[in-house]
Amino acid sequence: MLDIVTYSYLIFPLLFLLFRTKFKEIFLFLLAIYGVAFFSLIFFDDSIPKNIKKYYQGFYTFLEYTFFTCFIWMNIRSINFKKFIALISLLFIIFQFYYVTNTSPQRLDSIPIGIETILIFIYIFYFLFEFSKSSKDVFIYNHYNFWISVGIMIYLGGSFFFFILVNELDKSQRANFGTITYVAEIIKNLLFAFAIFVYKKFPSNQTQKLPKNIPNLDMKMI
Amino acid sequence: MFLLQANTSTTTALFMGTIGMLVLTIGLVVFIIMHQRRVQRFQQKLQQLEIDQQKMMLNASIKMQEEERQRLAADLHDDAGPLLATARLYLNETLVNQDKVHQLQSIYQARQIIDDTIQLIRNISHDLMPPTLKNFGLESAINDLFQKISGSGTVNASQRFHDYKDRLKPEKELLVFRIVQELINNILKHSNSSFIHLTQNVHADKFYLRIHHDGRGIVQSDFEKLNKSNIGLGLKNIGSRIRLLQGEILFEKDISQTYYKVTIEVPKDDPYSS
Repeated sequence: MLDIVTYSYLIFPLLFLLFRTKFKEIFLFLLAIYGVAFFSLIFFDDSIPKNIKKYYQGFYTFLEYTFFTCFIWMNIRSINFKKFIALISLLFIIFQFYYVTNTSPQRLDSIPIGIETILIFIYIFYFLFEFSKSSKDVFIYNHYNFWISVGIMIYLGGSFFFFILVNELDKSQRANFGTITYVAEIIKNLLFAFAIFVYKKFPSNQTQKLPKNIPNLDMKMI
Repeated sequence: MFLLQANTSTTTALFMGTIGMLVLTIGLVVFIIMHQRRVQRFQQKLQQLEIDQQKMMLNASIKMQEEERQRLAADLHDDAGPLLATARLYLNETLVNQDKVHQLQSIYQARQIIDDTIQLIRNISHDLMPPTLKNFGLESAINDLFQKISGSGTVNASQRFHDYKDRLKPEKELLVFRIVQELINNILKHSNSSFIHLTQNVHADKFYLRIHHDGRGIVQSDFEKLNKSNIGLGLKNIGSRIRLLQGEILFEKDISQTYYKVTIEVPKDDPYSS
């Protein structure tokens, strides 16, 4: 199962090459980089020495948070919310650095993963709220970020409790519930791949239009 | 035993939690899609209503054109036709009757009738395009109109243009004049008012006209209701002309509750011209 998860990350660079995408199409480029990065991280997971494993885990969580945040950031219009994301991200990175340097090695860095999940869910909720409020003529499922968001939610939702409680589980339980997270991860990657097709099929839907200036209708008669 | 129980509760929490998160995700996605579909259906309904209203306005405009043609045809047929036929009869009389006195009398009668016909045709032509408006502009045309109304003695009509140094474009002036004519007609027909006062001013890039009267009037909600109904052809024409001008019209009752006012706002510069 892990092999399927690992190799499923190669879909993104392959689709990037297949579509002969230009580098200025940031979303596709970013997704290709994401695919290569996570394929490498999972592929070389077993060969990481135990003494640096916690740094590797911290880096994995950091990279995952960064990519997910970038995907959502690109599609959020509110400047204030972007500032909020930037501030929270900075605090999260500081916390993660503190956590990695001050805790003893564990199976997984459950607390940063839990916080990451909650933050990403908040960002996605905001994106969905903003999109449904502002875009009246584009169906949300014709926007690639909807599928990215659904993929992330399924993956994080499906693995949240497992990652939180992984340090409490025995080997057989980890094997059983690990399968759920693998399935969620595969679904996420399939949805990300579908997002690429949506992005290519509806290129005009992918930018949210700015609202028109409403003139001041107050009338002053002299 | 304790460890086993703890492990079972962890497994249950993990299982229920994961299911809960997935249900939450799916529920949210379904909710968002349903909500957006509902919003879009509402938007479509609004668009349909707007299309219907535009159709109604177009029909009103066509109907008004037809009525105008019929009136013109009736004026020419019923008034100018018989007058010219009578003049022809008098002229025939001069050919048949060789008596000089009779001939002179017939020619004089024919001339009188031709003069009347000229006046009639002039009136018809003025109705189509007031010459004062064409030659001297909106201010003079409205002044003429108001003088005629005041001349009748039943309504006191007055007007004051505060700032009309820069005239509107002729086609805009005609549209504004037609709106004023229609409003004045409605006031005379339905309001039973004793005075009509019109003021004009400009502010920023907008041209404003305000008509006050002390009779029975309508407010904006009545105007919108009538505009959407099958009655109120004149008001529909006002609406379509305002739309052509890319302007606004506001029907309201004055704060003192003693008179009604209608305010027309028109952009001074044509938004299509560079």
